[in-house]
Amino acid sequence: MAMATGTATGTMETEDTVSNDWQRNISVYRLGLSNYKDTHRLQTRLQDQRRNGGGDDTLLITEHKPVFTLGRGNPEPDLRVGRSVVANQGIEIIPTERGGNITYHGPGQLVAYTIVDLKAWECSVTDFVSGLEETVIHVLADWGIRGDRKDQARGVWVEDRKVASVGLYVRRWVTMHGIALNVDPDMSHFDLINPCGLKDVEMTSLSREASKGVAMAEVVESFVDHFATVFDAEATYQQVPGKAAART
Amino acid sequence: MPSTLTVPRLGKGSPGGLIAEWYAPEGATVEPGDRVFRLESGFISIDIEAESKGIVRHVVPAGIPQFEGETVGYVLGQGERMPADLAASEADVAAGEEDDEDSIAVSFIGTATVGAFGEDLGVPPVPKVAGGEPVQLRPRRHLFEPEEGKPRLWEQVTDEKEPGDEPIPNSAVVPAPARPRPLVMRVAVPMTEAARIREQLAIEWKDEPLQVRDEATIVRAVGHALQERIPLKPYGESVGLSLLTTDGPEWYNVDRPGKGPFKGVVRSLSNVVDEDPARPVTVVSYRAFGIDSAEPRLADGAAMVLGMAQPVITTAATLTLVYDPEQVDDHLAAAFLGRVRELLVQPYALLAE
Repeated sequence: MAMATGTATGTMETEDTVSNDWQRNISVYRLGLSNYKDTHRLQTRLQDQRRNGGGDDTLLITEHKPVFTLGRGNPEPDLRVGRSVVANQGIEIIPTERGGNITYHGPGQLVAYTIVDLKAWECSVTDFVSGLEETVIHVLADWGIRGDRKDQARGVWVEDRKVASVGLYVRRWVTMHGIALNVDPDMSHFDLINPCGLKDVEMTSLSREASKGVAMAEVVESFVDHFATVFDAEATYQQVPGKAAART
Repeated sequence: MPSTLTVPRLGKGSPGGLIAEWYAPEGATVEPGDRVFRLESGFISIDIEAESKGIVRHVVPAGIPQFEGETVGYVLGQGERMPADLAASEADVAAGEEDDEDSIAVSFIGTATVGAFGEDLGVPPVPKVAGGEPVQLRPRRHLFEPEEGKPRLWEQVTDEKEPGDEPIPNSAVVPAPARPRPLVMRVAVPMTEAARIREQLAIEWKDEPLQVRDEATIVRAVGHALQERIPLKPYGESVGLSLLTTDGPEWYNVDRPGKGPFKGVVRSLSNVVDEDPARPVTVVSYRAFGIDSAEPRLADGAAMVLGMAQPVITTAATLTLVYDPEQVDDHLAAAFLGRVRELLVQPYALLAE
């Protein structure tokens, strides 16, 4: 069973006063390669529990089988090719309740889903999104890459290339969905869509920017550590129930 | 005390969001915890829940951006009423709709001084003196032809009465209008359903030499919304929807764009395009609404093009409304834009005309 503890030193500046008398805790589950719909059901169940006063604040770390997901406000896929091309590649298009536009998930991409009670964390929605971006920026720095935010487009960028996309759904101030960092996915799949509705955007990956192979397990560890630091939270790895493959 | 539905504070850098969808229709009964509406801000989607049991009343329609703290609706408990100021406002509107035609003859005479592209359309011409008496001018109301490179926004008032003619206050000498300070309001419109009714329109227009495009649906929705909002009497059959070629001065007024003669709108455009296929045509003026210009734009930022030879395929359009706040209050403009959006999201009502 995996048990590790993240740091509890906060660096994130929130608008609201942060008391030192309480502790943010987050349970971390590494799901490995997962089916999008299965993980979505899990997110929904965890969010329901949390907004009804139960459950834990949770970070789900996964990679998905290839899938395109759509945001609520853009229910029609913004494709660069015909639907048949996408279908022939066996990539499903799934509408979701998160904000934003179309994005791609696939093996080699770290997806971090956050089920967090923002009221309990005394964190605004925009601070939370900024914290997710900040986390990825720190991860990139671990590989010597400078990531930045852009004023007009959320996510994390390396110069003009987008490396991480963010999207959130909030109900009763409990979040779900989160951020996706391209570690070393099949980048050709991004060519099938206008990622995030951006026609001329160039997508990139950590591996491409580092010009070397990057181990997903190392990136996951880095992400969780930095998440804990940025949000001043204690992260505890949990075993995935019934999943023998859960790793320490 | 009614429960107020407001735009919540999202945090630094997010002044508000789009009222993307009302889950609870106007008049619906909700329980605590029921989702009432969805707010969208960038990559964030937030469902707002009811905090108490009651009847939902909308103040702002879906599709309208709102600032943080703005009231967008109420949940009224048993025996509760809308807040007094809002109820009074509603009563005023109702009274106006019944018997106050003057309130519709909006004093927007002369507001068309700034075009959709920021160009100065000029002030009303100085009335010519004929026989010692000033010539009365008023905004033109009907289809007219371009006049020597300048749009003719004014016409002489004559003794000939036309159906629906009403005197315009202070029109003996048209005052030079103050330059309006236009405000801009934008709304994103999913065009999925609107695109689907193109085939229906094509059947309806099978005898017309017209190509049916999404943009025609937008014009139809605009006309429909105009007619819903504006009793036609003061303006006869003309509701003042104007079309402007973006690279030229030609203006075309179109009568009752939402009804049968709507085909005439497209026909007019087709004529323009026939003359010069490269010339885009943009809907820019909804004068009867007191809105100086409205410039629908497609998702890629291009001006809305009507009747162009090149089909424009888009899954979403961004409509931009530019209006004069001295003539139209924000709520009215927002309601109008929201109604256009509703008609495009669920466009089948447009086929019923």
